[in-house]
Amino acid sequence: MSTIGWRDRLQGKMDPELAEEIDVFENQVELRKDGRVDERVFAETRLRRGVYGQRYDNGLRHDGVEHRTLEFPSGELTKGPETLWDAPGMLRIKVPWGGLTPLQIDVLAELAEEYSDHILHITTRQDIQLHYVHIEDMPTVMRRLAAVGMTTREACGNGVRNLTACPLAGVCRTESFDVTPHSEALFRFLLGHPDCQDFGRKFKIAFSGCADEACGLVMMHDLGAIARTDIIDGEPVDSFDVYVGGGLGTTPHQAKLLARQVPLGELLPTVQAVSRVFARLGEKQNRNRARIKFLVAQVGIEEFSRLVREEREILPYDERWTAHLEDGLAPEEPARALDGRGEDDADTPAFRAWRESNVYLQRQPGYAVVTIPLPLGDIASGQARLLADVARRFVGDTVRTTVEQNIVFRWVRLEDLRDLHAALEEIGMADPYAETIVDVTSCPGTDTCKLGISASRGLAGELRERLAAKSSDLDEAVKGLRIKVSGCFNSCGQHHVADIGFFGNSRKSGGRVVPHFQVVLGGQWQNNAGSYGLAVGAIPSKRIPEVVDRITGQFVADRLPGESFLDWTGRVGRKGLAAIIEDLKQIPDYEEDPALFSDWGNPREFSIGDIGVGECAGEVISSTDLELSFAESIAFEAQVALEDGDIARADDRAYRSMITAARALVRTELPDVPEQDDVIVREFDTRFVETKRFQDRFAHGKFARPLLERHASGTSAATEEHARTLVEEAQLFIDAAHACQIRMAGATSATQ
Amino acid sequence: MNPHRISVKLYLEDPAALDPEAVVEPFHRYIREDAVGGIPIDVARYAHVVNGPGIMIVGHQLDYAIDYGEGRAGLSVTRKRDAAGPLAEQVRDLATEAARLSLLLQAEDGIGAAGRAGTGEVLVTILDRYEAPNDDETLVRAEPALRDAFAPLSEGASLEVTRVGGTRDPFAARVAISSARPLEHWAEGSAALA
Repeated sequence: MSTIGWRDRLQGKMDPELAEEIDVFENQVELRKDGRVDERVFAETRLRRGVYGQRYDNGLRHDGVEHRTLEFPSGELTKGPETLWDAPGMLRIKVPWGGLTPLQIDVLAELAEEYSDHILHITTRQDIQLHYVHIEDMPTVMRRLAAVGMTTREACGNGVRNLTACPLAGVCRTESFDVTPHSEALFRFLLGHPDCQDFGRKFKIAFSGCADEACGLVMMHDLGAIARTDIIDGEPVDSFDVYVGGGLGTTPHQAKLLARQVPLGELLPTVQAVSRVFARLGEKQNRNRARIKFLVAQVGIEEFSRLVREEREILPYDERWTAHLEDGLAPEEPARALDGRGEDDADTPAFRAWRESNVYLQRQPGYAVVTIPLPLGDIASGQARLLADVARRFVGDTVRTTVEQNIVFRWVRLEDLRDLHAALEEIGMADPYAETIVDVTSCPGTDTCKLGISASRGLAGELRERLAAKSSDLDEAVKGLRIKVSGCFNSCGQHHVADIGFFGNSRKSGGRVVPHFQVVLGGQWQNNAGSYGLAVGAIPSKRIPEVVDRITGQFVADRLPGESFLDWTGRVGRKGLAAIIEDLKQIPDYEEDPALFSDWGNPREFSIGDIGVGECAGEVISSTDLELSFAESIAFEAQVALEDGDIARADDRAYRSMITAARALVRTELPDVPEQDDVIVREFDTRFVETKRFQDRFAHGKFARPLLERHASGTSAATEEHARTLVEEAQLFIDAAHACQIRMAGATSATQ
Repeated sequence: MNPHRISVKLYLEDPAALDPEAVVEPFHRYIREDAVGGIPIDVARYAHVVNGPGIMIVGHQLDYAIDYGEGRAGLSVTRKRDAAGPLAEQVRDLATEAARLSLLLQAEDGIGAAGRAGTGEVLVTILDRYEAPNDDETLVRAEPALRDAFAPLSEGASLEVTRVGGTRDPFAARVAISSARPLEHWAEGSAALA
């Protein structure tokens, strides 16, 4: 009841395009339940809507003694290869440039309570994730998000992921200019863009306001833009340096400069051209080589740049490229005007510590950014509501998430700092450890990720607790270090750019498997993640706190005056660093130390048997497959409308499903086919009907006729019988389109 | 009323005595030994989260938790799917599950009495803002079922049902039972009450 109720209640409150997307997805869910959509197609369909698998979703879990089967009610029904229907899943919600409003936080909290586990989890890319959500609840969750302007579209799968930006953008003291409106414009432009539907792998974009700080971590992204301002003819001129081909994972790459001083109005078409080159030339079969970094490395940055320029020249003009510039770039406004009181002098030790670590003075006099640290990126739903109230009281709609899994309030008046601290203390969220060594970042790891090897969150939580307990005794040079933990080599915890990083792996000893973490030292956070750390050895998980103690202790004892951790690791070198922890690698017999054979926060004897097939790469499904699948969804809507006696809607949906299927075929040869029915039908007729490629061996041209006739007549079905006929013909049309596509693919492969 | 999710929470008698991390190992064992209802999937640790769900057994139909929501430690059981029967029965069944969880924890060597929950006060939360917004109208609709749910557990004594939380919170009712039957009786379930 709630599902239908929410759909009806939220009609008109959602962006129409997003609303239709969700309707289509809901239909796909129904079609998959009926076995009418292939599991691989459905998997990519859901991934492109942020619906991700979770650990144990193949129905198997090692309980510490043996593997057990999870006997879900829907049995063998799947939502993707080796992914059972009833198994709980994760929903990733995009938060472009980290921007959140208190209303959005309220809704996220509601959804966490009603569909998840009461927890909002902030990721290392500023998204928000809900875990343990059932597939059949997803459309309702998406609608409730859409009603407050949030989307999950393309949050997973082989598309453009969340677009990140420095949380200080617009208020930073060292930025060239505010990147927020440009990142927002690019986010909207690329969302669902046809040129981004045929990637072989995901594509991550980041924006930075300045080159020297950590800012948006551009150098580790598939594509990044760093703001710059030059004085030309005596006038300041804003532009972007655009980088491409960065990435972490098992083979981290630093991004390369694609183009310097790209004018603001050229940013969107430049990224569009990059997308086209990536879609056309990027690897599609071998997912391990499919990120754009491999393409850039393969052809070289000069050739890649040339290809992009060439593509840019033939792009059809799109008014959205500059619309945001013409509208004017309105700066964010503070919710509360200064009252001239200034900052209160009185303080307490707790306030002083918090003021020192959690407050950043904005470039706008009288205002500050305040960080609210969230342990492991988690916040409970009830707390989120209270935090939203605090935001309403002090900063309004200027909340942002950070890649360090925290929340920041911008535009806090200095005169409000004391009251804000008190308000945060009252709800237990005034921890003073923001962006210090205590504020450990972690990916989900074995807690929920199918690919996790070791318990990154377990380790991060343990380190956080231990470091917090002794934070007041830590050397100042150590306090400012960053620790980041990934559960496996895929680097979602961004360990490569931490001072002290870890990623999960395992080693065998005496016939048992022991959880380990590889130690990575000396990554560079500054300079937009300007260099990556050195791997110095794998150590059993339970000994990692000792690793942190030894490394930081040695650094303090050994550092030269003013020497940074990065410089120290460079001076000592991999061999010297490895020697510090060498003895910790030894694994005793199980009987001597059984605790070493389990992971942090998980008493089960360690096993790697729960690792599943990752969905990070998504299924490599062509955009034609996906569009034909959408056409099926629309045809399904037509059937439902017919059953409801809504003849006009049945007719419209049947017609639209054929248009969608026809467009899918046309787009295989004419990627830029406009969204105009006349053009689509004309091109379809010319390219597929007249050439007889749409003909069936037995039915000949019969299946194309309903579309051509319905389009030519321009009139809707007048009777239920007419509508019923059109609905049936639409299904046949889609089947014929599938068959046509298969024949075309066969012809293509035969010529290769 | 046919809500999407319902949760019942019993409060720990001595909340400070229970270290939430102490239940992690037993929770994993309960999954292995099928000691809890539904299809349990995994243990989720959220003890680091302020006023959060603490440590949970996340299942397909039911979640069990040492729950620190609203800043008070308790044992909660949430039904998420496959609900059957009238609301009163659903609520009573969840109370039974929470009582059983308490007995299981009390039987643990490292926990003992720290796992004991009281039966004089229960929090019932309906996690469905469409069916049950947190307002007085919902209270009027839900109260008879809540009274029916707890009447057999209360030695015929008086029940006080009060709505708690604000309109943005999920609907929640605190049921105060002046003379509740002991936890062991609650754990016997509906069959024993017939």
